[in-house]
Amino acid sequence: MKNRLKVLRAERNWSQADLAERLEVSRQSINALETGKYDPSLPLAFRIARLFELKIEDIFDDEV
Amino acid sequence: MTKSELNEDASVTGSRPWKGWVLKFGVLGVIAVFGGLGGYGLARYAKNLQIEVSLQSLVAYCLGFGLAIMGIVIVVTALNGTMALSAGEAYKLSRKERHAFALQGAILMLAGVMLSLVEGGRLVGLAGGVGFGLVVALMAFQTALNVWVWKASDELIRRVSIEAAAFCFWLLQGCLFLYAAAEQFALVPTVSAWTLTLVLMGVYLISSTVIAIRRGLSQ
Repeated sequence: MKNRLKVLRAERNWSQADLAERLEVSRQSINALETGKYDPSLPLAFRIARLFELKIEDIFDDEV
Repeated sequence: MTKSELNEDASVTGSRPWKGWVLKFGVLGVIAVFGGLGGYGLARYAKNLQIEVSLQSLVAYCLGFGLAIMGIVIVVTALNGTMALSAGEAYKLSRKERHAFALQGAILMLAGVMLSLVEGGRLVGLAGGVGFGLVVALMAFQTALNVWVWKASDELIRRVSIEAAAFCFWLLQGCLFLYAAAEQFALVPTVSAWTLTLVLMGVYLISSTVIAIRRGLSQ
């Protein structure tokens, strides 16, 4: 699944560690999400959407 | 920027992903070599003491040393506070990450010590009851650390643990069934519970490492 996490993070000048702290996950998790190695659980996807004030489908795209 | 362009940008994984894999497996290879050398050295020592060293003992020593060395590397990383990423950058660990690294390193070290203790207890003259009591105490401590790490972990680390456990279960239960069937037909020799434990630990160690790397835990 593709996502816009890296772009959204960059727009706010946040490092991976900054975003990880805000979402209460590890920095490795942010890296894994950004590189598409890991798809988040629904609760984490909601947390991400709330943090960026966007809908989940505006961040994540399940179309390959 | 269009949505697809944004998505493409966000999914960039690096121009040479194979370099990361080479580096990671290189590090694992070095640890395996040191584990093997340490295990072999201990086995030679046992042989000098005229204690019979079987293949499974040698595997146990090597696995034990390998685990202990991996644990030491992780604990040193935690104490140092800097992690080398595969891209060649140095990442400064947060206090929480250092804590998690130290715990995971301690768990690996304990696993290595327990393995070596079971095999090498005879070398240091440990009586059966004392040796077993020591292993039980260490295992209880390691289990407490494991529960602590699980509770403190985020969903990615838990996912890696679950995937490695599921992979090991499906692979090993199939192999165990086939071996047990062959044993019933008197086609293969009977193996001890200790041998099966070593196989389980070895397969879990390799599979969890590969899954962790594939999921990006080493980056």
